[in-house]
Amino acid sequence: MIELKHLGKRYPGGQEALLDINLSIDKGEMVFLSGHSGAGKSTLLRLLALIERPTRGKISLNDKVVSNLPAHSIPYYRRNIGMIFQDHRLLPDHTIADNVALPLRISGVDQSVIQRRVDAALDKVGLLKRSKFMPIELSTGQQQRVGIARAVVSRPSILLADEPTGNLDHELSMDIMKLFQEFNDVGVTVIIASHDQAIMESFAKRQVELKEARLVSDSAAHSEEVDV
Amino acid sequence: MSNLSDILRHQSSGLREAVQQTLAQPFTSLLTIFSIALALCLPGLLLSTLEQMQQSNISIEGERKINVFLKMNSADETIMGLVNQLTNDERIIKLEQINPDAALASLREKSEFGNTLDALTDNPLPTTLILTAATTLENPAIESLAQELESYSEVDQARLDSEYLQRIAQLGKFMRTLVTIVAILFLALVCLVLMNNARLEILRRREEIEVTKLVGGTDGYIIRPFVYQALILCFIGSLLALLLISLIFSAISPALADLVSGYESTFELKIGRKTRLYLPVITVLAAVTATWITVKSTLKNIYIQ
Ligand SMILES: Nc1ncnc2c1ncn2[C@@H]1O[C@H](COP(=O)(O)OP(=O)(O)O)[C@@H](O)[C@H]1O
Ligand SMILES: [Mg+2]
Repeated sequence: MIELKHLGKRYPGGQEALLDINLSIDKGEMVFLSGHSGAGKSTLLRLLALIERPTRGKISLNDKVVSNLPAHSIPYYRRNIGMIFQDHRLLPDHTIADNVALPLRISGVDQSVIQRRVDAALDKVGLLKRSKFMPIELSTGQQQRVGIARAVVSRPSILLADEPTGNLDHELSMDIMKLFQEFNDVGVTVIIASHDQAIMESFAKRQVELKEARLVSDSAAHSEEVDV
Repeated sequence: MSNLSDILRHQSSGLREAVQQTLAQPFTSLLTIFSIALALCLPGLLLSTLEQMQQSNISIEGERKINVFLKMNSADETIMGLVNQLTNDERIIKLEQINPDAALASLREKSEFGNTLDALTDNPLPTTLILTAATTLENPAIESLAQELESYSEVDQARLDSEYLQRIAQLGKFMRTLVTIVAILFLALVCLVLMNNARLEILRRREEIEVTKLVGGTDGYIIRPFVYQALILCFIGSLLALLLISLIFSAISPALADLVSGYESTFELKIGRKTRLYLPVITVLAAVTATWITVKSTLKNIYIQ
């Protein structure tokens, strides 16, 4: 379970990106983070991945405070989180298979195991036949699926996706979201930031809305939020 | 045990990555290797020369003599006593006594001034003892032996037969200082080349490093290939330097042989054992340390923790 308590983030420039966010997300939940551009969605995901540290409040995972983890523990914390970015951040001079293998290689997994798990992940996103291709040889939608394969290859228990369909048309976006739902169906906690209302409404999932750094609505009533 | 195998696996993957990086940019790698080799040539040449000098120093056995001039008109018994005492001294392996008359005669024989010497009414030469110090004695010990002898009441002067030894020692000291300074300067040059390379490479691969951090790569995982690459480049670079040095030596050897042929010297230019060992080892150690520090500190500029 992920729990945010009185979470605040103020950037060094003085910009308040998040103000007093209280939110808890159960294990295995799928949550959409909605809100206009600049509302603080990316900041919230960056805080969860400890790319940024909160300036107020705390984040706990399974009842353990993680927002103050020492820097040297962060890599190990992140190995339990798969991240997907709008611009997918694939390495242009590595093959698709190498890109997907990266999270396994950094944790020193055996080459034979890497091979097997990369193939499985690419198969899952329907790109097994493209494993020897370079990212530039794929379409935007395919590149995003490679990004998803890379995020899930080490079997994290949490997926964080920041506008994963931002560059895609509706049909491709639906494909990508369905993929997330499939991972969610097998118990992965999925948090997706998006401002595509139509897409989010196609899935009957919890929706949390941010507006000007504040949490303004939550489609699920959570008893934990009583103490706000 | 799983810890050890983890460490080995991480190190070997770092090494593999480094080899791949090195081969992926063959031209850059070769340039770096040649820069390192050239930078190491001068300190290597000097170090080898010094080493050879130190060895040839030991081979100058003829120069361990002390001339002891006794006071004029010393009594024969006093001289006998001193000679006896010195003969029993372990530090002296040979003692030759030259009496004033014999000395004058030999001087007459050798000298052009034979006739001038005839004009002398009194023999101006003292009794002289020529001592040869034991080979176990180092140069400073020979000097202190000479000083000790000079303090005897019957001795007027005790002089090292030749200042050659001292000169060699002074030259050796000078060379050592020179080698140390030159080695530090050129080692710093090698480190700077590698540090600059590492910095540029990190900035070039910034995106890759950021993504690596985002998927949970540790600093160690990122740093290791850089350090191994520095190790590889420096190792090959110093081997190349040794090759270049021996080529240079064989080029200047004939000229040197002509130069020293007049002297009884075993001096010969070749790469010494110390050079062969120290050049690669010290270079690699310095390079690895410099690279590690550079990468670690450059990584701090990459925002993702
Ligand atoms: N690195 C940063 N430094 C300073 N301000 C930032 C930074 N990142 C985001 N912000 C600001 O924080 C606010 C929230 O941004 P963001 O979290 O990116 O919103 P969203 O993802 O919902 O568009 C914005 O006003 C943005 O300008
Ligand atoms: Mg955003």
